[in-house]
Amino acid sequence: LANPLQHYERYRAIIDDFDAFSEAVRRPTPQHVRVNTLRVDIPTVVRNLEALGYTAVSEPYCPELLRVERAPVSSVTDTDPGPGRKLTLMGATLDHALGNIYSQSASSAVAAVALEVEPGMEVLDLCAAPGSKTTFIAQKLEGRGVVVANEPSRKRLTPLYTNLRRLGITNALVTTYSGQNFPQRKDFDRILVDAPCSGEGTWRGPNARPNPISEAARERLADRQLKILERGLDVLRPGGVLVYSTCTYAPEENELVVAQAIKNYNLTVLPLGIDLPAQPGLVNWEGQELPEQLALAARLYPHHFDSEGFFVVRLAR
Amino acid sequence: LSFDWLDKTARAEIIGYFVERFGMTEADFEGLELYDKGEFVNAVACEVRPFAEELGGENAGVTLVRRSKTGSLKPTTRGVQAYCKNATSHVIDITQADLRSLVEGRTVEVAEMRGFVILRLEGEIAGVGLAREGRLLSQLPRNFTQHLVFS
Repeated sequence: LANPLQHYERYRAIIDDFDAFSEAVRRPTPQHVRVNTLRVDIPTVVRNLEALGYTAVSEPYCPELLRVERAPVSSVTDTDPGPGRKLTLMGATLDHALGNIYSQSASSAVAAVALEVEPGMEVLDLCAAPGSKTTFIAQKLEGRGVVVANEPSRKRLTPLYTNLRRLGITNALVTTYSGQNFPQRKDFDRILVDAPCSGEGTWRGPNARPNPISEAARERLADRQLKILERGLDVLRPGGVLVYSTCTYAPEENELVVAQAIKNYNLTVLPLGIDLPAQPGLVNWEGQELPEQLALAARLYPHHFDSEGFFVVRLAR
Repeated sequence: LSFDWLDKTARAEIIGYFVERFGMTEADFEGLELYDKGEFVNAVACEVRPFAEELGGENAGVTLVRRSKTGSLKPTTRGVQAYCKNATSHVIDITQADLRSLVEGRTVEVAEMRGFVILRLEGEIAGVGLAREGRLLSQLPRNFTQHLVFS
């Protein structure tokens, strides 16, 4: 499937201003980098990037996250990517080598911000590789507390290790359980389930490589997502918060999964607590009524929030 | 997998190396647990240990040193970045031009000194080098150098 828009047609009824959405999908995702405040302060990185010809500004909902508004013409890409457009050169900077920055999409950062991690907490990231959110969680812990980074895929462990070491994360434990079989011997204050998903929200720009899945595959995926989410709930401490997120628009992988967990675990959906131009979660889909509280979930669409398409919801038992 | 935590004697050997070589103090390593991981010794925050013991795991914290077959120790770039901010001895201040030379495989002139040194760039620990016969050689890992482009 060459054009993701063909696939997105199934969401025409739930995405407002579909023409603007379609236009946004054609543009590349703007580049963001996160400052590793365990190592360096934000103004230092901004100055270093300016010296290289970048202009980068903090996002209001997440000061550590810098939006690249202008990038230098790169001898690596040989093209001027234009204002705010992605340039791969960031990974070649000294700040990157030193572990001072991490390239991370704004949507991905939102999931970590939504956890509201505080220093000293015990946090589980059930689907951790390549470590974008794990390393952000560790930053929020400020070196106190623990983050358990669980990743069952062997081939994804190397980038996870590389990023944890590069950013100097000293309080992370890497485990390799399948998410749904994570042991129940410890519980946690905060849990992130950034579930494996069909990834539709990442299909942006001219280099998008849409890889739609079949209905049968989506059913299997949703079943797995629910099992992972439920195991996360099993090890959530009373008073704790679990964030469930995906980078897909498919309600079957988002609201329908969470609706089943709400029913099975009598959950409360919490407000996201971040001021974002998000659309509310769905409370019905293809004739199926869903819990009203799912409206507190956030759907991030690129024509409102210029990043990857994303779904995020905060849950409490 | 379980973790092979260092006992008091083995821990003292590792910390002793950093005290002796880099002028650090034992207090710099308080709050850290050390464990063997093959030929490497890793360091991790003490708070992680109860989780590692209950859950097992593949890895924790950051690699601090590598042991050679002869028993000598080699500090790692990621380890000194994470744990050696307070080093005072065998620390060499380098410029970006020096770093570029090292990354590009050249050597840099250095005052008479032998063995592993910590490279400090504009106040920030950059990694590990090797001083030999008045020259400084890079010991920076491939994942540090391979994508680095100097403007």
